Amino acid sequence: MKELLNYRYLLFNLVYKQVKLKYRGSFLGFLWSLLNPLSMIIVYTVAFKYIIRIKMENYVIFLLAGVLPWSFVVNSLNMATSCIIDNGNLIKKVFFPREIIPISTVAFNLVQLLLAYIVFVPILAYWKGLSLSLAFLPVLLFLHFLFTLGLSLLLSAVTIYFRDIKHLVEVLLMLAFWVTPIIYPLSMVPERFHILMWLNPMTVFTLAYQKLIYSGQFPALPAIVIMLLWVIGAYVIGSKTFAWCRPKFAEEV
Amino acid sequence: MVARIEGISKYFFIRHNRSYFLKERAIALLKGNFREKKEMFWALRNINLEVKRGEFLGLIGPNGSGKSTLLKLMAGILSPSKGKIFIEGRVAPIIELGVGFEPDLTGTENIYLSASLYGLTKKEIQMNYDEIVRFSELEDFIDVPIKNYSTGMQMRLAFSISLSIDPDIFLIDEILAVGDEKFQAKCFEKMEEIKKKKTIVFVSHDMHAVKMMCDRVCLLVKGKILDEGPPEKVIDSYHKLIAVEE
Repeated sequence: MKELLNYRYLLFNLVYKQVKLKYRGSFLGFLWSLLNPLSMIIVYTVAFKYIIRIKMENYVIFLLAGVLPWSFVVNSLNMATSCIIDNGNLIKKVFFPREIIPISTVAFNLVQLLLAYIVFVPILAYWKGLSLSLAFLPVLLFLHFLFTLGLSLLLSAVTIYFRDIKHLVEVLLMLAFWVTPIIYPLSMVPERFHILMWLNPMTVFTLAYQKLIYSGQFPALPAIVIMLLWVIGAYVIGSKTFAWCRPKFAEEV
Repeated sequence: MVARIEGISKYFFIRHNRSYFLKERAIALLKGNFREKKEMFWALRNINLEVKRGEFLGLIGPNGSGKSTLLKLMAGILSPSKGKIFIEGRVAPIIELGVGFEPDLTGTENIYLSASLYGLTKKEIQMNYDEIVRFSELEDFIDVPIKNYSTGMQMRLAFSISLSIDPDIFLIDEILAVGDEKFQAKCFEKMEEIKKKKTIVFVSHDMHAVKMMCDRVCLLVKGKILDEGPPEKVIDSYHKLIAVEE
């Protein structure tokens, strides 16, 4: 942990590098980080407000409340499975705390999410008005970040030994999108399936985002407790597995 | 003493017919040899070595004798199969120049990125920045993406960054000087200066450089220390060994 603090500037540089390289060379450059989420919001609005005309009130806001954090998870995990292998050269030639690599991957995607919120929150304010519940958003983001980081540590380490995991994760995430109440509210799901939905850790996080952003309410205490348990579980299993696999990284990549 | 190596051994598994694919595994299974062939390769066997403060230690030996493996173990990049390594202070492995360079980033951005890989803080890099640029002689190109640099220019930048790391122990694999003749002379001059203050472990095939720079030399052959002592004596026994083999 102390080691990690000493290398925080490396962490910053690795995140900065990815943000910078993503749009390097393009004329609009960094603006794309904002134009991307903006265009997504426009497409959803046209599709669901004017064409498909879903009956739910403010459906686009409901959808975005769930989709934005979902993209954060999907992008983080898909990048995490290959991050150690992609940085093989660094791992073989330099010594630094290996955790920095998956941490920087998830942090980079968190930055993308925050940039999307920079676009989304003013639109939310205009359409619906801001509620006090948004004050809880940083806490939720932090919990969600830790949960995703735990999974990323786990996946980045085990993919070294079983390269199939990368493709398996891609397929599972596609499936998980439809069994998480993102494009439909949980209330639409028949009661007898609810227990299955709750077994999916993304459900409780998604509902929390929807409650904050769409309903303008603070998440209930049991929901916070469940999230904390997922965070602790993912983080402990992830960091332990990572530490266990770590000594062999330089030989296996 | 800054580094002590006690009974270090390191083996790797060499997989001769590693079947990554399920199909190949299934075929192998049908043929009855479902266990993949795994061969233990001992890169180092029971190495004991002490490095004294301020010493310039050379490691020589034929290809595949375990020199770089020993360096990587000392750096903490690899972990030993057996034995212990004690190191006092910060270690900087210069195993390859320009590790982590991003072609699309500018010289300045790469200085910050590359130096932070070695654990330098922002402040430390800012303090050394002018010196790095000055030594590399790249003042006019420092805000240009390094993909537009020549190989020599990239190496000069990388070498200058390495000099700024300021560890207690330098672990250097082959690289003592880069660039054109004039720049190489400057590198050697700088190394002489560093030699006075730092502990250096140096792997090389360049016997001339070894003779010139090292205080003490170890001859590694097939993962074992065959000889150890003053440069002339050890280089001599290395040459004798080659002669015998021929």
